[in-house]
Amino acid sequence: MSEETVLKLAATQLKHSTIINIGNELSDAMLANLRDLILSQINEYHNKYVILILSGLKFMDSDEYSSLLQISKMAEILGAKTVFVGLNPGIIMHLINQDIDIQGIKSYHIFNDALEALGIIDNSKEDNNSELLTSEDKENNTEIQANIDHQPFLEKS
Amino acid sequence: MKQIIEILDKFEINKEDVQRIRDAGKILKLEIDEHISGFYVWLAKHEAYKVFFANNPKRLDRVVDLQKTHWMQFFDAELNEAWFASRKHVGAVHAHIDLPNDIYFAGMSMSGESLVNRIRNSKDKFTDADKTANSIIKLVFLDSFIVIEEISRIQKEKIAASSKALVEMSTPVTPIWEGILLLPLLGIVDSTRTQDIMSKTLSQIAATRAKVFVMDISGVGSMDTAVANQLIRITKATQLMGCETIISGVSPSIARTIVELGINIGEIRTTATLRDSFELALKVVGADRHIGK
Repeated sequence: MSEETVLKLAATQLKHSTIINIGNELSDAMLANLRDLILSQINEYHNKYVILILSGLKFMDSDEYSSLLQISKMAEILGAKTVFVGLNPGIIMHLINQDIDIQGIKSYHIFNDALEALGIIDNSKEDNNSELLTSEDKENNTEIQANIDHQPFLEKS
Repeated sequence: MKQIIEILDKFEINKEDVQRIRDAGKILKLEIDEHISGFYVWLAKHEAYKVFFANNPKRLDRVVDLQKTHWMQFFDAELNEAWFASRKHVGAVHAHIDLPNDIYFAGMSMSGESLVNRIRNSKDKFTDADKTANSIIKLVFLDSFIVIEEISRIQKEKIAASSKALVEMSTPVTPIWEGILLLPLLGIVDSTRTQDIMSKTLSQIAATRAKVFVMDISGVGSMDTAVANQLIRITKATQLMGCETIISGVSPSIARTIVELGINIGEIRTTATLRDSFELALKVVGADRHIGK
């Protein structure tokens, strides 16, 4: 494979994060491309987070994981935390059985959960003015919100 | 067919042996009823006889008939696929009725001895009594081997099936609150069990979008570095699913062991009681706000 035919990766900006969908393979060329893209995005946008969507991957071995870990360490030096999203349980079990290091790794199964945990979206406040909601939905949402508002505010640990 | 040739070779049963057995059969087949009665006189001295036949005389008759067929076929010495299949079938029957292996082998040994004695007592009737006796003994051994191999295979299958069933029952990963999973872990935690726990837990996390997994270890036999490493693996796996593991049921002796062995549990949260873990779990999912804490 010539160097010119490296798969193009695209990055999306959302609030203080760069989001990249990895697709279904992690070749050496792809990893090099990813590294360059992440570092240039952080440099341009001063992101707090780099979110890697890994749900398309059917397989990852420990070498590929090590490469991702290296890239996330580089990102951290530039001030951004890398977050993995959507690793499938089969890959997780395989990597854990290889005794990989996960110190400092943030990882989520569901993209929405990742966005909420990183403060990019707030699922507790539903948008009650959306045209997509029925009047019953709006009534339910108002009730839930009232209950939440009456509880003393507690930090999530 | 090739396997049959190989096995006859292994047991050194050749054409001459087969001929000698068939020739012996012309005389010994006539003595089979006497031989079988002798066998049951011997068996009656043993506990197994009472177990299988005491309340069931019809069963005894049936088995005596089957025995007769067996010895008739033995002396026909048609060592083909059908014969091997019939020996395997005997093994399967014995395995399913749980006939003790010692009774089976002792019985075959006793039968072999009885046949050899019959040959010795009428040497003149046989072309070469000694070689005939040897041939018969070789076939008795082969016969027994095929039966016991089938028994052994079935016993192994039974053990594997019940192990599997036990493992299935012993890893109930259950949602106990929205976003909270609980596993009361009991017994041994080895690497095989860990794979099972990991697989069940990760699929439950995916299915329920759990944020916290409470693993109670008060039922785990003993804690050493190996067990601790398995538990750490489980927590790492759940972490990669975005779910935190809290380990509850940590006893004072486990706490001591962890520190004294220098096991690094990193940032894994642990509590002594399930109640404390559950309280922490509720905080993580934000549910403690809704239950008037």
